[in-house]
Amino acid sequence: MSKIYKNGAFHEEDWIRVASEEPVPASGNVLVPLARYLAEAESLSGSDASIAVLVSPGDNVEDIVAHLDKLALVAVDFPKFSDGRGFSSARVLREEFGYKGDIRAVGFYILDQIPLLRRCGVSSFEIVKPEVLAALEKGEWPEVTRYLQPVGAVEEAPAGTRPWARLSLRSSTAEAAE
Amino acid sequence: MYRYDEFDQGFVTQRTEQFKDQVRRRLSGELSEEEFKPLRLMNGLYLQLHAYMLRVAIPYGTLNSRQMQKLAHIARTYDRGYGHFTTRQNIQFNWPSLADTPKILEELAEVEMHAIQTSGNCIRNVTADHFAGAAADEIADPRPYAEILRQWSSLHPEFSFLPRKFKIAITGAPHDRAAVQVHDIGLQLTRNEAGETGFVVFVGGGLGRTPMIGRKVRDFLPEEDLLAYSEAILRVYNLYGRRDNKYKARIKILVHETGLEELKADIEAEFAKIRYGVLRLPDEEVRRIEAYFAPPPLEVLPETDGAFEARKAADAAFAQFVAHNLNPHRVPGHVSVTISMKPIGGIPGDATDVQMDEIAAIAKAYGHDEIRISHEQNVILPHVKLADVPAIFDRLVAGGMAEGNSGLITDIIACPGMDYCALATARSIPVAQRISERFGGADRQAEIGELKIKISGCINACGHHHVGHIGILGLEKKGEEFYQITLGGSANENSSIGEIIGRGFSSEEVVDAIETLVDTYLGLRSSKEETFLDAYRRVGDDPFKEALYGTG
Repeated sequence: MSKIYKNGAFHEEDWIRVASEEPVPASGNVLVPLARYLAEAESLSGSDASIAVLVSPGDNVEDIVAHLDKLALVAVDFPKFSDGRGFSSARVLREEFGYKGDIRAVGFYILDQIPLLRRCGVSSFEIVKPEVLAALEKGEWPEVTRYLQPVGAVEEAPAGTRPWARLSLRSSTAEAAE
Repeated sequence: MYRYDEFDQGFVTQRTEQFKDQVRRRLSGELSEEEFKPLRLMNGLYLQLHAYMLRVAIPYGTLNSRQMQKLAHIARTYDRGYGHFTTRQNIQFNWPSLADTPKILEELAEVEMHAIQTSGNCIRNVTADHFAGAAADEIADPRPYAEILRQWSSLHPEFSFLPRKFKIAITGAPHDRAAVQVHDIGLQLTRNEAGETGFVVFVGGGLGRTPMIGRKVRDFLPEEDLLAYSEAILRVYNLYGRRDNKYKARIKILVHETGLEELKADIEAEFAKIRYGVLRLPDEEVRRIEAYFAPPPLEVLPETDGAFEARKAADAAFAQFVAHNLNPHRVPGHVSVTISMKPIGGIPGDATDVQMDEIAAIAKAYGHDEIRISHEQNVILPHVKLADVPAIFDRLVAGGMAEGNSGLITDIIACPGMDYCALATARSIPVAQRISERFGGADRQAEIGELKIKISGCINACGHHHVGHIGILGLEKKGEEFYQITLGGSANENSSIGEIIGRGFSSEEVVDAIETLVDTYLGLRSSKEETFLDAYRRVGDDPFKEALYGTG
């Protein structure tokens, strides 16, 4: 089972990643690459399995706009932490296309990226790196909580007269209520 | 100048704490060097040949005497008594220890300074005309916009892991002193027919391995759209910029490979989606930020001053300084003074702690407490009374900063090269020093006139050799340094990339080669008014090639 961090808490959850050629299981949680999903959208939506799409760097999230209401979640993959395309993918999905479901970061992002990902609309994290798990369990959250960019993905408090300045509303109590 | 409010101060303090924790995690082994690298780079910390190097941001090159004194203090306390002003209006300290860097950042935060995004694959320090707010030819002060961009780009959640670094420059005058056309985004302030302020926007300029002049994507971007349009450009770049090869990852390559029209359409499509959203700049907020940059009250004074003229007539060194190191000011009876960080035979851009303290003191006494760093690695006092220039000059002479060579052949831009940099393939500084010594005579420099020499110690082009009137690129072949020469580069409103003149020269030969080029120019110029660049553009390569190689 994979460790998932969501709303300040951990739980275990499994998503079976199917590659382009593998058969799709008839039930359970299935994560399908975006291109394959598009090719087989009709048959997949008839399946009893819970279907989610895996967005890889280079994928265009605009391609799945018509299907968003059918998706259990959208996973944004970070095969390398230094490849920041997923930040834009998540943000576009959330802000431009108004996706309301869970956006999950998967892959090899690092601890310091988690607070940034959250502001881009990522709402849950599949954790593969043990040091990231250890840090989150200790409550570490390396973030500057005064922001100089307004984002639409997370609720934040305006700060002063600058329309682009925001204060984080995330706190331990706020988080418990999330 | 801009002053931090409580929010900004808290922002920088928190960032310092965050970095302190990142250093702790690196030292404890929680972070690998590979993982720590982008984090330290985003805070300006490089691992160089011999030590760490910390690059401190001087946003759009503007600082006050208190900040300059702090830089002097850091040079004295944590470094070896000097700092190096860079071509992006920043300052580098070459010898700090990793363990000291959080302390240095705390000290910087005390004077509203930081090292945020002075390196790494993110949006770098926004640069501007060093005569901003003072120059006689200015349409408007570009710094309020640079400050707004600085804020918006600081720790941007979406754009902190870009394909490559991203540089923005802005100029407020039609004569471009900020080299905007060789930046990822170049902004030129303008007014439309209705008299409204906006920007001409260039995208995809840059030097490095593949030098390119920026392409115009907008003739007029309204002021209120500055952030939304910038965000649109960055989003397109973040999603589509190449990541398979770091030498092809800058936005200039995306522009080149996608094609200008298609990329423009992508940017406009993204812009259309967010234009009327939260990034639209309210007029009153722009005016509020602008008020921070209000010029000091300057009295209108006579255009000439008796004592100033008398000194000019009596003192050749002073006359030379006046001829080259003063820039016309908006307000009669005032000038902007360039303090040369290019002493003859010295290291371009280096300043000692004592010099920094003295610049701070002079700025306080005569310059309304305002200091600028130019991308040409000099220091500017933007607002000075003409009548005070003799007194300032005397203090600069005592401090070894009075060379009257601004814009002349010894006002050389050079990267740190192999003396410091881990990427360098050849030394830059010693070549700059030898050229400076060769041409350092006051009469000779003045006779040659405006001539910009720029030297890079490797193909990454930090010394901007592509846009030097004479560019020198240091390379390595079979363990020997050699230097390739380009001619005809320029980074102003008529930007051009220099052309390689022919085979390179050894370290021993290169200064003679430069002298040959200079002598050739002196022999063929139509008059003393025709600069090296103008002459080159008129006659082309051939006479210079012939002089260097005799190949016709």
